[in-house]
Amino acid sequence: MSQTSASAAELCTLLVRDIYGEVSSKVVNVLLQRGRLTIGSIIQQTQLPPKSVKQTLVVLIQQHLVVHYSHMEGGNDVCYYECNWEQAYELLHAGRIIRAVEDYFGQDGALIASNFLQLGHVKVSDFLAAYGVSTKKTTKKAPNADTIAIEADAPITSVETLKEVMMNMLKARFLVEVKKEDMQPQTDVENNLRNELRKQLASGFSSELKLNNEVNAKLKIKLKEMQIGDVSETAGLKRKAAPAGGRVKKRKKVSIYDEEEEEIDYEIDEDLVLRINHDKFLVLFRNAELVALAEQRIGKVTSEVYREFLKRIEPKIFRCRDNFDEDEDDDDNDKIGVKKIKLSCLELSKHFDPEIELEGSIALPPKETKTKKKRSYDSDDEEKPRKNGKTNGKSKHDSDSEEEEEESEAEDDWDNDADMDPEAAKRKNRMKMIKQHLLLLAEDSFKFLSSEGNRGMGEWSVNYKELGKTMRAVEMEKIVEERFESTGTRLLRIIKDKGKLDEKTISNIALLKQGEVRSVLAQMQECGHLEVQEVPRANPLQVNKTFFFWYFHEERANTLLLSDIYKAMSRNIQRTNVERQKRKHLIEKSERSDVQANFEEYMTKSEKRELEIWRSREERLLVQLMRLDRLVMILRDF
Amino acid sequence: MAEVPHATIQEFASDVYEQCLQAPGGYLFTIQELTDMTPGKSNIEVTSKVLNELLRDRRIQAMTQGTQNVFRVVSKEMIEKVKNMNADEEMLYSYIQDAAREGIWTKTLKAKSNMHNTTMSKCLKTLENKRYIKAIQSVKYPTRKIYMLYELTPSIEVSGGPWFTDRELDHEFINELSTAMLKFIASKTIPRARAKDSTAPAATTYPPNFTGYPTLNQIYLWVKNSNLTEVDLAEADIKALLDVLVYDGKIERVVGGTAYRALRKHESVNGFTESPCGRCPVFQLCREGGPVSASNCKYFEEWLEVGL
Repeated sequence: MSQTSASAAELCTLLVRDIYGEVSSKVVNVLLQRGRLTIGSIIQQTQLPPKSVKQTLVVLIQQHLVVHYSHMEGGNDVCYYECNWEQAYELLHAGRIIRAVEDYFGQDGALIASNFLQLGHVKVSDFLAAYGVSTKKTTKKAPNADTIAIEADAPITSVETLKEVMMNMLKARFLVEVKKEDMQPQTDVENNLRNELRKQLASGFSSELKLNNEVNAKLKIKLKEMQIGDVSETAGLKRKAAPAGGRVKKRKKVSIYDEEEEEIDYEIDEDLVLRINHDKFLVLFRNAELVALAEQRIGKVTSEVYREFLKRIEPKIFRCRDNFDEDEDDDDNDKIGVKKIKLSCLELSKHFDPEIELEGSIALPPKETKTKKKRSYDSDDEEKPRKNGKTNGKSKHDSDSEEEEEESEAEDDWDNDADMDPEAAKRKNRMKMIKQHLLLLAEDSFKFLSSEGNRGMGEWSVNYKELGKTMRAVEMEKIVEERFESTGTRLLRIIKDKGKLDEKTISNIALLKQGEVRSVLAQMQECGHLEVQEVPRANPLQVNKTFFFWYFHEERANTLLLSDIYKAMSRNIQRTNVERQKRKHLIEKSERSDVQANFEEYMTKSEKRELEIWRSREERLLVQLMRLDRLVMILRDF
Repeated sequence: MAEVPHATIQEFASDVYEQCLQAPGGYLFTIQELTDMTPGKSNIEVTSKVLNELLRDRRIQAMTQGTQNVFRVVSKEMIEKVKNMNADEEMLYSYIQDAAREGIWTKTLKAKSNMHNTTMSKCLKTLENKRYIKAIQSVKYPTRKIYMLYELTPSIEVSGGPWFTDRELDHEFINELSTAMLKFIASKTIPRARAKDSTAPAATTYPPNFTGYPTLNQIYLWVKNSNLTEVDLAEADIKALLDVLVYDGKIERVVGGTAYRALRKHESVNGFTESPCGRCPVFQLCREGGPVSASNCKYFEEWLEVGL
């Protein structure tokens, strides 16, 4: 993920130019093209005056777009700069992030988020001090650390509210503390850690190889601890030193038991330097995508149940790729680092949104099939409760009693108060419906949920890794379908299912003509969706004596597609610029204050129409860009 | 021992032939059995003469089963046919007969019979006119002329199976049939929207653990009974068709792969292929400053025009 493709570099340069201007984009471009550079080389490559390069670097570092690291080289400290292209890509997410925050924390939250996005990172006290002081708008170009400014036409009522909202955002991990490592390239952080570990362990090992292995193993755990440690601090769950100084003091006074109480006493530490936590937002976006997928797959109501479920476990998920290991080979590591996040039906129904109408969302099975083949299919979940042989209270809900799994103690409790008031009966019924939907989600071949036992009317977890794969496959298939119609998807799925196949076998399975199959396969290969392998049958290699096996290499296909999408996004932005350039004078005119005041008078009819066209075109291009961004998130981040 | 007169042999022969006809069709007689049938028991000489007589008249046919020599009785109509043929025709006929349902290529026929081209084509023509044999076309070798006995149906290798009509994969037939099957499966697995109270959210799914999903056998029987097609389809053919539907993403296997469920059609609309770049034929050439670029792209222009 860390390496940049040419098209990604192009896109990032364009994005930076759009927001931070020509000079910044030049610096970013050089850094992306050449890799890490010293300031001297940047100046040399860009042909820019040293002063402006330095200024630009300050801005870019402030925005986390550039990371830096100092080495000892020949007795001198040499500082290298490197472009963090993923951060540059995140510039695209600004709109989404602000909207998401608005959903959670309303107007105030959105305002804070948009300011943080503009400022990169900022110390809380500075942020609070700037509130109300500055009345002039921050210009979009080059907001840097010295001129903090906050849009003052804000509806934020007081510094107190501001503080509280910020604290909540910190708790929700929408904002996180900026650490030293955030400003350094990942490789340097890793190397540093490795060197440290080496020094510590060097004495205990005789052979270099053993030492290396040990260091590598420890390194992995350390890096993980870095993440996990960071996570528990902010969540305030562990006794580790919390980032907020204010918090630490409070914690020492209050015991661990009454957490609820101490939460109230919290106050945001004003010495903290915060930034937007892009990873957390990706988690939110992924949830939204999953819900949309579930809706398409199963139905509206089920997807709403799913939304509630994901919302409930969301605070426990910190990063999209956090909850699964990159390499599956070390299972023990898996168990230490990654605990499954479960949620039971009972817990879910406690806080379930009462607005969601569940009644009638699941059809009753047709009568005749119900009686005929009811017992033909026995799954574990179904068999166990039946053996318990509890029949009390069942008759009331005969309609779908066959699915009830009254095994848990919770169910017993419900059954005991047979004369429960209608409110309780309704609640019980509702819970049952929720369970039905959860079962549906677990039963679907996409495996939206995985069952984790029967506690609390059934516990479920979400296998994000597999779901991510499924989502990628779905998107890939959509693209193939649009390009090659259903023939393409049919062939792709066959090849995915069976592995390497030659043309003839494929055509037999697909029930398609060989010639047709061949041409589609070849085109798909050209687009990078498929690969072909040649296996010669006889020694003088001849084409007609060679097997051609088609196969699907998921990672490669995804990478190629991703690079194409980056390219498409670049073109999209370029086209927007072209369109704007075409109407430059017109747009400038329309933005003049005197024209704005007398818009009807100063603008001719044709000018207005042209302006209208430009607006609709810009909107269309922007919408398209966001849709491409959605694809990138699915293919790369989820 | 006295010579058995030829007339007696003939008599014996027809006697044995009659007896053989009683046996179920396709029954293979061993020498021992035929010997037992011959009057004047276990006289090897007589038996061999009788057998020779029968073989000469083509009333029986010699074959081998493993290491054993066995005989098959030839029906009376068959004998009639053969009687009307001349020697060349007869030879060709027997080769074609041997080829059975696979059929035989004219070139192979020529090599085997060692006949002249004109003679052979003449003979084949006569046989064809008499409806003893027919020319068929093979899926594997569409250019070859292949002959087969008139009353036989070509084997799957030759005809290509039920999906082939006139040695071509019958697209329409496959599509029609799979669409019909899809409809059938959908009707069983997606609940019908209730018309009565349209205000309530329409139920979109059956409950979990629902078991009314049709199995392969049910679908097969439905196809059989629905008179959708006259082509004789086996359960395996239906399974192949279901597999294709699965690969098309229209249905999926449920209940451990034994039953099928229809899936709702998903939208294939996506940001990439909908933007001009996703379907651009010169995408690879496109770069800033190149012959094709975002500024001179006509596809973008078209796309933006449509939006207005």
